[in-house]
Amino acid sequence: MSRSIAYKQKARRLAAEGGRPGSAATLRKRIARDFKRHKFKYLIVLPVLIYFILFHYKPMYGIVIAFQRFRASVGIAGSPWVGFDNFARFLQDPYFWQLLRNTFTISLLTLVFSFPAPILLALLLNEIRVRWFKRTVQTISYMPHFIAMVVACAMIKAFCQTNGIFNDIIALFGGTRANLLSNTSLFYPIYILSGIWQGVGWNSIIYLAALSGIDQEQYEAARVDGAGRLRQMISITLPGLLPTISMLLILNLGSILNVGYEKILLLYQPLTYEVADVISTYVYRKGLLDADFSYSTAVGLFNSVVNLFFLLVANKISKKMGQSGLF
Amino acid sequence: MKRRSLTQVLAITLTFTMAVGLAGCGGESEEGSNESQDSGKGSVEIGEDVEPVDVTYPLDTEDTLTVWSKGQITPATCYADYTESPFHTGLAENTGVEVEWQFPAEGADITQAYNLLLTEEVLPDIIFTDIMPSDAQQLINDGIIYDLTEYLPIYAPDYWETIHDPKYEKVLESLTTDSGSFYGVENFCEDLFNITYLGPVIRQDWLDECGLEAPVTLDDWEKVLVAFKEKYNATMGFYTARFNMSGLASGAGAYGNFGGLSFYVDDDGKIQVAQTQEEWKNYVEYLNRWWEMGLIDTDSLTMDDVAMRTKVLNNEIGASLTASSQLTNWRADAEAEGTGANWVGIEYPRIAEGEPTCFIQARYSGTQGWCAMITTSCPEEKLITALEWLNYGYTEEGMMYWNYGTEGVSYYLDEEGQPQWTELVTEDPDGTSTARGKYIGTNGTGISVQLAHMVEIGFSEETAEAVYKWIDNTEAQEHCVPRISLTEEENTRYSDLTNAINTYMEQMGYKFLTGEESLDNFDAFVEELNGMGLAEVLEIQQAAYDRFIGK
Repeated sequence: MSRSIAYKQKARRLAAEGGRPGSAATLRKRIARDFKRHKFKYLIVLPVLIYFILFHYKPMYGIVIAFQRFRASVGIAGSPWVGFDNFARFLQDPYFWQLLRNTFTISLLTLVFSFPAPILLALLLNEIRVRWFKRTVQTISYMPHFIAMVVACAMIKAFCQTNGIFNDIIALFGGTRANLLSNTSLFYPIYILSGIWQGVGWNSIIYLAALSGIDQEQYEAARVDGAGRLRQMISITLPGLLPTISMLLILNLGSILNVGYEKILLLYQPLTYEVADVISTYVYRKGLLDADFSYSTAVGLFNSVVNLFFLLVANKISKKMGQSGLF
Repeated sequence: MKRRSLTQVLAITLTFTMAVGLAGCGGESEEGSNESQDSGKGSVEIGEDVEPVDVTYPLDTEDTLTVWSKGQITPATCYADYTESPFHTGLAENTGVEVEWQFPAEGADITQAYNLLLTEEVLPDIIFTDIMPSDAQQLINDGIIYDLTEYLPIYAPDYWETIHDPKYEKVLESLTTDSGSFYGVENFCEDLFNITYLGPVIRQDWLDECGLEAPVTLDDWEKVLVAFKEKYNATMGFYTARFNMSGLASGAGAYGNFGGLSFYVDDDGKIQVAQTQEEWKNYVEYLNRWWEMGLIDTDSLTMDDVAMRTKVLNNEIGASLTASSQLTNWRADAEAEGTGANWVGIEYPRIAEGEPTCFIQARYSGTQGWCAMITTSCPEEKLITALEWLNYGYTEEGMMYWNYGTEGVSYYLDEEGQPQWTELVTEDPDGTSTARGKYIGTNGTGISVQLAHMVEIGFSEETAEAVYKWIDNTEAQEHCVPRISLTEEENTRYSDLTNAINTYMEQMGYKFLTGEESLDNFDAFVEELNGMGLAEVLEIQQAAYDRFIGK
């Protein structure tokens, strides 16, 4: 976080310098000087800039097909305009509310349960003083991240089968065997818990990095003042992590409607549609069946607008609460 | 950290635009490319009094062609490209036309590749793809491909003869657009045998031990399943992607299974939906009873081929419905592990012994909708060469080459005059299927007729037998809806309505099966479907079907 603070100070300094009179000429001069001084930094940033311009800004004009009935053979220029027709079609869909509800439910559950998990893990790991044990735990917890989604889901499916390991446990305690993935009330727990299993180790890295940035002198001072381990965690470690947490939370809220369709697609089935079918899977089915580009674009645009709204709100709240925002 | 986070936000907010951009780039249309069509006809003569040309191969021409194929007729993977492939080089030699083959990059999304191709300014001379007649009509209207109606009888006489073969009578109408235009040269499959790959399978060794016959009706099935359950604690299990296509619906006289809407033409020529009929309800009642009795594996709804294979090997499954490729796997597993399992294919269930089956996986014989179209980028002067080149696969000589390769190299004729593979194919270390791909063009879909005999000699004896059982005494084609095409407006409305209906249907079908929803609510289910616009869907289908009949 110290880098972020330094950056802020620098920005403030630059802002103060910019306030000087005769800014037009000096601004150019200042930019030129900045270029000269940091030419390698600019060079390093260049490919990223080119990437964004080429792959994220240039294709943006394609959004217009959300307002067309797009046909690939005649292109954007030749396709007829239909206004908000595609959006209306989406909103009038009998399944629209169910999709929206499921999408929000899964997103919120992820935020409530999956989001804090890596923070907890990082805090716990931070308290471990035996280095080999810490390393081992870290390595093991990273591992699921490197299992491809298809393989991970195949494992989950196998575990949930009537002769799978979970049913073995249920049977051990006298329960009856049943396919767990066919049960609508178990879909969310399976989805969320497996998500934590897959991501907790990997996602804790960023928090561990932030933890290592906390000034060790603060801990020494606290110890001198007689603070125990728990006190230290609450009063030093957590506040030190807070900027990272709030940043990641804002980013997560910014993708609230983007529930990854791969995993759901691999785990759901007609019996669990009513709880598992989300916007992205529905659009996937429609896109795959009908190759309806305009409709998918319209839904994508709808998704992005909602996401942007949540991002802005979260950013605002974060700033209001005295935490650093994204912008 | 701050700067990176900002980029991440941008990435998230803008990611979706990538897909959009890919679909949308190349906004210019091909207006300039069809001018050659209006210029002088050159040496191409068409009209009713023009005699069909006499085509002899190799053609005496300097012309070369570019052919883009949507992932079919690809060179075998062991070759760097088509210039090394025996089939492709041999084809050039036999036809006397050098062809530059183009394929979508390996691993690419072929549908997307096709859509992107259409946005190009200059197209290859020939495009080979699967296409609906309505989309082809659009391409003709947009001036992207030639309307071949008047050219085919004259410059592709063998193709013209093939499509008028009584064997393909039922599909002839589906080769044209609603306005009657022929838009390309279609791939053909000689027989129902070629396109049948799914059907019921059973443990013959268990049937023998129980002293039971292969089941014919659904009641027979129930008897067999009960016996299997009692004696071996085994059930019927399936992978829904395999099962959905046809299931055992034929046993109750139903024309649809699970999954989405299933249309059929009733005796009065009216389009109907199978799942709202009494027959379908009866069928689901059977399955629901079997489910309650524990005769169906409760993991069936989440299993895939791999999970099935494990269960089959563990003797947990006694009957199923699967693909011929899986049947081969299961037999191989049983042999390798020495389980003594003898999996065989059996007939689809019937209402009664001797009655024809009404609904199986294979619907249309004849064509599979793959078509070679000539684009307007192909200049008029080359049009005859292109047509005659396309004609080759339908000549006697060309059909042999596309199906069996070169005599003395990849095949020989046995005492009965039937082609058989040489050792070059059967002993190939890459396996027979890959080996065939080196020498022939109809391993998948080619610009020719895929012969039933070619498919059969590629099968093991048991697989061939299974496929023959699956297509035995069937009337499935009598009631299947032909390849009708919807207008653009119809299509939009249709897909909006059916998207929700299919989702609902899929969900309810399985709920009826598992008993989560009682079949007493069947009428409410039909009511709900009507509320979702099923009547309008049927109207759209009927209108398209009437246009088709009117052709």
